[in-house]
Amino acid sequence: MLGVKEKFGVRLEKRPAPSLRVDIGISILSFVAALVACSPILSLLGYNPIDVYSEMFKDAFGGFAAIARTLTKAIPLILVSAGAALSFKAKIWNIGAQGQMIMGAIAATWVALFSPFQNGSGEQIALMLVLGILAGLAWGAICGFINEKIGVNMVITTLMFNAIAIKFLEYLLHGPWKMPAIKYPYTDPLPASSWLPVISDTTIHYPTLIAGIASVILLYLVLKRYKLGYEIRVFGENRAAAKYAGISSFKVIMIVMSISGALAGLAGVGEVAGLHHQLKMGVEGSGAVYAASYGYVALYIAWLGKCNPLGAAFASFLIAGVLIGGESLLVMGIQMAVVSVILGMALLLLMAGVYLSEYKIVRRRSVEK
Amino acid sequence: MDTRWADSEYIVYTSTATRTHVLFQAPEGQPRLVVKILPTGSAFIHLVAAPVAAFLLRARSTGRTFGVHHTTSGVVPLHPAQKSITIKLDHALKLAQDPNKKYFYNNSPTKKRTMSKASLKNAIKFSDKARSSEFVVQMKGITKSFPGVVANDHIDFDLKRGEIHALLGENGAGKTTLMKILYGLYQKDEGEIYVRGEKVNIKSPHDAKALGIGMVHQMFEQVYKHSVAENIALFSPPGQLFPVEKVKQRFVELSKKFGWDIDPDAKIWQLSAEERQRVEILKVIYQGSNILIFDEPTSVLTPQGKSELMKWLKKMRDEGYAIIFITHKLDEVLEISDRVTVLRKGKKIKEIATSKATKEALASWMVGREVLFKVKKKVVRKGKRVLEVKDLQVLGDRGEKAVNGVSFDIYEKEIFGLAGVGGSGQKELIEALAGLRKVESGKFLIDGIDLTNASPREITEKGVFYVPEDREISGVILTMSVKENLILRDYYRPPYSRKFALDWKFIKQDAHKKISQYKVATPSIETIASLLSGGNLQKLILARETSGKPRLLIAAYPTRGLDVGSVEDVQNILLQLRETGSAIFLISEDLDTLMMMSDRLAVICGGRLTGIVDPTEMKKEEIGLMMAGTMCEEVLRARGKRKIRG
Repeated sequence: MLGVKEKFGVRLEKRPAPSLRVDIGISILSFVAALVACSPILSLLGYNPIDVYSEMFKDAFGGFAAIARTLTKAIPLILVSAGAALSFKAKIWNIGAQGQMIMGAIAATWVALFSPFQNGSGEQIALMLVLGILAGLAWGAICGFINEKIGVNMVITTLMFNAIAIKFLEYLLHGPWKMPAIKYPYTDPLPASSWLPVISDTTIHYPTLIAGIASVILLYLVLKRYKLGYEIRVFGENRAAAKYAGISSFKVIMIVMSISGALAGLAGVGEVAGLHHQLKMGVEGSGAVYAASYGYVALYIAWLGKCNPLGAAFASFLIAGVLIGGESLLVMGIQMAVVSVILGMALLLLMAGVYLSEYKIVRRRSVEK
Repeated sequence: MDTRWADSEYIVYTSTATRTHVLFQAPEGQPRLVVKILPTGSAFIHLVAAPVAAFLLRARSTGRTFGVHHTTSGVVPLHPAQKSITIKLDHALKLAQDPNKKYFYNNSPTKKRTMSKASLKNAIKFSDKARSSEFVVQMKGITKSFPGVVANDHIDFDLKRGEIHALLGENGAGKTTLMKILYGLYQKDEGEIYVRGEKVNIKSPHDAKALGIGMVHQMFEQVYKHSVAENIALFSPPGQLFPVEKVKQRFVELSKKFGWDIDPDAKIWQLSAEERQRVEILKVIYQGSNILIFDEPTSVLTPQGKSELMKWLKKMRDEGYAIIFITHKLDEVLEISDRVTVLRKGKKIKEIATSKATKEALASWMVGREVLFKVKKKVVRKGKRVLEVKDLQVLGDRGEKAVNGVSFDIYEKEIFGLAGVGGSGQKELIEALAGLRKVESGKFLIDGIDLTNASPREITEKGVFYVPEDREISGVILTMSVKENLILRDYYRPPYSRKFALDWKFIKQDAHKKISQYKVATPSIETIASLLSGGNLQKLILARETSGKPRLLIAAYPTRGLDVGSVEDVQNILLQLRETGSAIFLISEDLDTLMMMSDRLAVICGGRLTGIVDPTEMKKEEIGLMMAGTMCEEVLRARGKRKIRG
């Protein structure tokens, strides 16, 4: 057409339908963007960014041992982020995974060290798992109950319950459960008979991993194919419509909080009985300062996975790799503060990518006469 | 007092195009003048001179920031006889401040202030270019697309001084989009807008207000707990302290002029819908607008309120306001407008003088096919009693008795209508019957079973289905697919699901069947509901709620906001249900529809029924009186006729 000139103005437009290809492409792009953004910092400190990144990659994904390390780190993330994805799908802002993990860990430790059931048999491990799961479940369910029946905001309730769990753990470690021999707030090591089995030569406590993968698949199917999943999705998309359709909000909130609490509790058991083999402060996190509790890391993992348990599982593996890479930076002698900046940048840009993937760039055309 | 903004005295400068200007506006009632200072590009002008000039002129700053796009409105009235003048700004300032000059009017005498001439050495010119244009608004080739739809496709629209121009179209035809572009809420993709002959770029409602364009929204933008005056002050330009006292005074003057008696100290929630609309209109006029956009203004009014409004619209037109009237109601177009533009699916179909248009022609342009205006209602004998409501009392959201002792019955093969002004307790009554709101006292029974305060699901299982009022809030889940929306009511029971899992195969088959049976226009059953038009969403809801042969269907405002074609479809679905033996409780604000559809008609006012009548024996005005609170007996006594009860 005569007189139509294309101007190179662009604008953002909401994408009508999501597409997997775009999602993956944007994730890769934002990852690259994070690396590029961190390069000047590393250069200023006198490191060659390319060397640093290849070192990080090697440590996280290069070879069997590296992948095993990453996978070990991914186990709690997979479990907790699956639960977080479920709650976010229902738009229930459960950020209490930290507390739920701690309660699971405490319950498991109690069975292994302080309960009358210490017979070193398989039943004891089963009991640790069951009680840990129940502890996490209860911790989540109480928050759900308070939110629904008393009307306290879910975010505040779960945050407060995190604080309660942390303080309870602190009390146990400084008080009755303190290792008598040394001054540090650790419990005695768990007897080896109560450890979760691992794949030989690695630290992968596979029962938890299998449980994690199974629950991810199960949750995915529930959301897609089951009545409960439909109820959760309707509840999350539109609470007014859920009420109108006769879906009980109490039921949905209690079920969702119980499931995500149970998964977090299981993750807590896994950390104590599979990895650390003793209860200590920070048991619900990777131990290093730069990565907060897995309970919080899993929240952004759930978003990265677009509240889809499968997506969250993949994102867990990726983020576990990033965390491992961060540890290797520490080994290289880069200060903790810098490592925090780099990891923060990576997570921030990945999150930004999730937001951008909902939009597309449209070239604005205008008619000029 | 002459309220018109006389456009013959409206003068703008002619000069090289520049966006930086000072725009002076007279309040309504005075001739006005726009002065534009040509900038030399100096920041001094933007940052100091323009604000100072505005201050000296007792101007009210409407500018967001002092900067590149600074807009200030003030008062420089001009004598009506004067056509055009060229003066220097400092001279203009002096004149404006001089109370003795009879053709320059000043709100209050000001102290004489001196201004640095050097800073304002640029000459200002006035011309009467604006006067040469017959149109106050011209929109040319406006195009706007949203993801997946072209809402406006090269639409031309214009508005003359002193006319009411109706913008007619179905929902989703693009009328509101077009007006939101004019009001600065949306940005056009293509096209040009001229206001009073000058090309403008309206970036926000702020810009629109500065140009004298005001919009009376469908949903009033008011703060419930604040007083009328506070609400008006809230929308007055920033840069002042909260001017409630001043506003009160002006508000009383203005409302007196319109013959409206609204207490500026009344709280918004104490007002009726009509009064709230009047406040909204006064607010827009108070802002100094003389181009008024009304977005479906009659949807909240009683018949009396509607005819009042029509009267005022005509009066305002005669006083020189230019009015755009957005509607999908044909009768209103014919009654009120001078010209009408018909839009269909984002395109302009027709523009015609209303005097040359007929209802049938308008309808066919609007819908794209012939439309019948009468439904064929078969004579059926009503059957057994389905719903029995006994002295029901329900509390509203604020804890007031929204439904205060209501009793009625509904029978098989009967459409039982409920008429009333919005907010008379209909919402609470329906929600109580659907199990969504607690019943305070009294009870209701379905087929003799007491279901008072039962859960929504228990009530559904007794065969009560419900088409909700807030279609897009609780009726559908906009972010989910058509097929998922179709099972919202029945997903939990066979044949839609087995013990735990949903039967997607059956659900898909069933969805295909329903959308073809109910003529839901959707690209596929996987389409996200938000992409469907209002009419199709309603048909989707009806497909879900009525395909199970309900004992009782509660249909709340089922035709609200729908176009003529969809209205007909919905009405036929309801009539068919009636013939197949369902009881139907129909709530609507459209009295014509109610009187045509209902076998019996109840009228509610203030939470009480003012009567249950046979609509064929009543006049529309009589029902209007009952809607306003007059008991049926009194209405009939006035007529000397016996009341009919079902």
